[in-house]
Amino acid sequence: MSNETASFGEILIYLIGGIVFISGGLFTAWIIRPKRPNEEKLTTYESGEDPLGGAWGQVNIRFYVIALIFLLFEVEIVFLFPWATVFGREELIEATDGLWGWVALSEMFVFIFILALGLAYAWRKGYLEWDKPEIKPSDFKGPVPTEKYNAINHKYSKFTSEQPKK
Amino acid sequence: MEYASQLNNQLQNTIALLSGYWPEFIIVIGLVVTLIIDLIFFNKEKNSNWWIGFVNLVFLILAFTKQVDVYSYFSNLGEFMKLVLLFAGVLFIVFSLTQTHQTKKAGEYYIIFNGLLIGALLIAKSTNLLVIYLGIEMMSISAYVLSAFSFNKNSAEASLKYLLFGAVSSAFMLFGMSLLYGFTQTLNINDFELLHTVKVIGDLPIKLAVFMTMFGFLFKIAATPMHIWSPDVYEATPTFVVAAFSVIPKLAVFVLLFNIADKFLVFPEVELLLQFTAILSLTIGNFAALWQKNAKRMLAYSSIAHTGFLLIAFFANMQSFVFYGLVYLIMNFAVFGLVKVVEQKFSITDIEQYIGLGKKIPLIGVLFVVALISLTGLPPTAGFTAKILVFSGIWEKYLTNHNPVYLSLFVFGLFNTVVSLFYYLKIPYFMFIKKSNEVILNEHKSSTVLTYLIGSLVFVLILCFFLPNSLMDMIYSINFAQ
Amino acid sequence: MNQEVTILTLTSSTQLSLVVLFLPLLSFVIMNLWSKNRKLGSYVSSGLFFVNFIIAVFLFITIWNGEPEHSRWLWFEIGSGIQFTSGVWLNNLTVLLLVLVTLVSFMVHLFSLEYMKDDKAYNRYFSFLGLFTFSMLGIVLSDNLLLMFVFWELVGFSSYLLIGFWFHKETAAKASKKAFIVNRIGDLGFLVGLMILWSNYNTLDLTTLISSAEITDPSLTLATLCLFGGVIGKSAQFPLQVWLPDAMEGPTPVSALIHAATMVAAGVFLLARITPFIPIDALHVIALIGAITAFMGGVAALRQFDIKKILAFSTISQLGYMVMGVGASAYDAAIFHLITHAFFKACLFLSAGAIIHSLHKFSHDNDANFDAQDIRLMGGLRRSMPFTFWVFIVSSMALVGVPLFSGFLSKEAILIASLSMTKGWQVIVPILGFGSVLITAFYVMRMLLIIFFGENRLSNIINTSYPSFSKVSLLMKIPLTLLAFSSLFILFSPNPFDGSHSWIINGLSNQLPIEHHSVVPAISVMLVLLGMGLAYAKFKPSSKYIQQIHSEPDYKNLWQSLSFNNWHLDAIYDAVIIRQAIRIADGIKMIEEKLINRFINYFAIFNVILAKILGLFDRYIVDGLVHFSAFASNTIGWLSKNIQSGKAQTHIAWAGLGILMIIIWLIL
Repeated sequence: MSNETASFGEILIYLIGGIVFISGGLFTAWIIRPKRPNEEKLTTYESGEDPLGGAWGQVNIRFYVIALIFLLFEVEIVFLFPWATVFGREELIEATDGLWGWVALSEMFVFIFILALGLAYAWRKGYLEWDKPEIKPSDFKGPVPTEKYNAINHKYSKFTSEQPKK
Repeated sequence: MEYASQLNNQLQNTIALLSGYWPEFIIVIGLVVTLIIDLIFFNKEKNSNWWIGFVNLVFLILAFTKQVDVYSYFSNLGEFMKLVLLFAGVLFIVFSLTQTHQTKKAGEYYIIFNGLLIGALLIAKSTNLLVIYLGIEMMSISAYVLSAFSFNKNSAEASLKYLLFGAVSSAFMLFGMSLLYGFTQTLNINDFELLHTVKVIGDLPIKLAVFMTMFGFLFKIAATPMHIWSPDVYEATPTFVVAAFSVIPKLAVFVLLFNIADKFLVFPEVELLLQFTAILSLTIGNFAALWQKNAKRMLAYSSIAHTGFLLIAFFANMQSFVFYGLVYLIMNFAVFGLVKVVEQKFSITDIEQYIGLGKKIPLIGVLFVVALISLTGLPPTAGFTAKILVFSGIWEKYLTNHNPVYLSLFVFGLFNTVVSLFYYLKIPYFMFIKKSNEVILNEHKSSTVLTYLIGSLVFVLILCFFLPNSLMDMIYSINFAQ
Repeated sequence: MNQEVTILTLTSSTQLSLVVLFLPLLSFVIMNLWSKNRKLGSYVSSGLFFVNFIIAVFLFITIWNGEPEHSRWLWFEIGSGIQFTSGVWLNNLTVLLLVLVTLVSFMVHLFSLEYMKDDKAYNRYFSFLGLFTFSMLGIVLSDNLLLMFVFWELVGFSSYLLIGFWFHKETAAKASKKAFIVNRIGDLGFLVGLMILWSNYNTLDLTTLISSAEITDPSLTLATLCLFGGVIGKSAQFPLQVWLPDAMEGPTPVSALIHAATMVAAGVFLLARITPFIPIDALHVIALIGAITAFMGGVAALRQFDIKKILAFSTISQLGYMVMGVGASAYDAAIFHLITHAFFKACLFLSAGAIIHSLHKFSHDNDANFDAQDIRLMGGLRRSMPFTFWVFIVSSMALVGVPLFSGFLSKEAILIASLSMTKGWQVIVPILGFGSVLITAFYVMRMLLIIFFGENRLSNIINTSYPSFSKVSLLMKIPLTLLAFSSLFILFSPNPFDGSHSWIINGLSNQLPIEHHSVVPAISVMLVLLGMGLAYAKFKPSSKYIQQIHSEPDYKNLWQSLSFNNWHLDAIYDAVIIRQAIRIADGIKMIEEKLINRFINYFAIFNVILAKILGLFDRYIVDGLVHFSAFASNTIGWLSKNIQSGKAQTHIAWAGLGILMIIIWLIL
């Protein structure tokens, strides 16, 4: 048991080391960086897009379906790698007179078959289709003309209101 | 090459043992065949219920006959309960087959149910923690999905709640299992040398681990304190699915409890936990049921209470447990079937809306009365016989070991039987006795085959009261040695 | 205590008899399931009954005068070793009754096809007929008293259904209830008899009882008299005959079935089955009861104006004869009379049904509202319904016991047997028997004269020219013809004046055949002639009485009232039994209300309070804990407020808290 604890200790050292390195780097940066925040800098980084809404906003359920199926095949690959290393071991096959190979092979084929079947099923039944909701243009006609709205929006939008000061 | 030759033996062994798994194989094959049929022949709008259900039924019956062979070879409790579970599966599919208009995703309905059944069968057979976990998850995930099959808002909400609750309890269980693995270095419960490890680690951590694991099991049998999900879920789930929910996972997990009893229940605390749970489930289930207005919700609480009874039976003796379990299966399918018939005919599930139905549909009313009397445990129904067996068993247990806990189990059981009378008889009261002020209900067609099926179930209930011999003979043929 | 039960395997005949038993049940099931197609269903069920009749005849040919066949199997077991058997016992008596029951049922089916044609609950009617016949065949076939009792009760139940068939009529509903309750009183006796027999002999199997019962045993007298109590109920003997006249509220073919072949015959059949072990004292009582019933029934028939009631009272009277026959140790003669009576009475009822059917149709067609069963409004039907007239004449002659007709043969046999009872008070039995012959002749002649002769009196109350009635249809004619033919002597004995060598008596009696008597027939023929002559004098078409009969009241003096109201039995029972019972029941009700209900109420209140307390507990303590845990976790801050408000989370938190509490308990 003590042996195992010792080997776990190595992992622990790695963990602590990782934490120290990351927090150390961040800490040093925090000390030496110049602090000149503006609104642009404080927004969340979204690869150049402007973020909309909070982080707790709802995500479309269709993502989950795709994600689930993706995950399934991830798991398949994760299983396939270790299986492949054991499946091909010559001494095992020799010792069991070829039985080992057949058993392992058929097990994996059943596994892949069922997964593939599942994918086919989801495909055929249309769960992979991304059916967009049809957005109907509203036929509402307000008494205020559209240009006035645009003018107001323009007037109070943050960029336009800040730019004149420069 | 020591390892390699050992491997050869192991492989040969495994392949030789595979013949004992024919029923499971058949169901898996049935599942895959169903999937393929649904995939190829039925797309979207076609009514596939009858064909797919029929194919499933054929496979299930095949599995059942195979299981009869397996049982006659092993004749232990696990194999017997697998027979019972398969029987429940057959009942479920036959019930579902009567619903001709159910077109929505019929294929998936049966496929997922098969998944649930395989999970249950695995649990009933296994003593390996990993397989138990897999079985429970298989059963649970199928159940989460099935509970959304009403395709309405409530149903989706209930399904999600169920999922969340299930995830939490699975986490507890998995944590407990991982601790157990850590202590014993093995996943096979039969190899647990707990007494040996106790000296090294100490008593408390092991007990904690066992407790944690137990909570996962309690979740599946809907016993207090892990019962809270069941009323919401039962209310919103399709009625036949509820009938299956209330029986199949429970019986499977009880068999599991029996299989691991000699390793886990050696701790007095664990035994006490289960007994305490029994009393709590009984009391909370029954008293909460008193206030329910919805028939399905009421039956959900009643099934919590019946979990308590099953636990008492579990402690009394296994023969009475098996009898109670069988009778419980039949009663529950009958009652939920009747709820479904009424639901279909008049689209109501509130008990107060049952008013005056006894005159409109006398046959169903009478069947309701008998089935509910059986649930209460009054003669002349098998429910009475089952309760008698349980109470006499627990009383004998008390007389032999003078443990006051058994006495309190006995007393609480009796007391709760009286209490249960009040809410069970609410339905007949509304159906027959309460004067109705002529509420006009739209009557739809419902399946006559279903009514006759339920009628035969109710007949079996009465028959088992008058002629319990054949059933008892069957139960006494089981070998309860572990 | 543990006497081993011998199991007797099924033979081909007994198997066949089981088929006969279950075909009517099949008909019952079919008619229930096949509720959509009226016509086809009823024809199928009639077809089944025909097949049933053919099988019964085949069985009859195999068994009659051959070896009796007996099959028996274990029915159920109580505890260890107390075994009950059930089985089928086929001997001459059984197969005879089998043919009778299936034949009459088939005839009634045929007749009903037409008679019930326009009834709404046509299918229900036929399904009940099936159930009824099934139960009756069960009584006939069963080899032990317990099984017989089960079917006996089934007969009671199905007769309840049939008598109350038109349950929307209040009188019918009441009559069915009355029949059911009165029969239960008799069945109580039956049940007690069964208990006594069981406690003495540990078996209820008939063959075993016959071989093992010791006829000198005093408890046996008690047991057989108790069994006779059941007979009194079912076969409408004094003092329980009150239900039968009321039972006329059922459809007329049903009356034919119940009063001719099946239900009332069950009692006599039971007596015939147990007759080998009835002690002589009990037999005397039975004979006395039978004679009294014969006389009382006859007298009650004298002043009835409802055609079906006359026939009902005559049935009571004839049943009295049969029971008297058994009591006089001549069960063969009794069964003989049962058979002949079954045919002629079925014929009488069915032709009465034909008359009622036509009159009813007439009233319906002409919008006239009158009682189709009242003989005061009939008269002259000889011309408008000639076929019915002839059939009716033939069967009434059989009822009266005129030579050349079947009734003569069987009645003589009973009367001859009754002559063996001459010691002391027993002499009253033959006297009442012969007296009833005279009365029977009188009331039958009266009925015939009023119904069929003279002028039709309907024109007296409704404004119509001479009414013409619809023809009796072929479906009704077939059974009537067959049954009328069976009322002739030729079917039963080659010698029209001597019934003692009839094949039925030869086949049934295991003793010496009854000696031929020439004095008895002579006396009885004279009595018959006397009775008919008296009746003719009073009721001949030209008499003053008949001219005024359409306005005749129900009764004018004490004697007429006694006859019309069936000896005031109903009133007596009402005063002596029913009112007292109600008084006692009221007392008990008081106790119940004051004592038991109060206790139960308090118990219920206690329960409700307890539940309320638990509800409060749930609301404040449990929910409070949940809220507290929510509050606690909120302050700790690892759950945001948004997540907290959902319901599922609270649930999980509550369960987690439960787990936590248990774990804390474990650690402490």
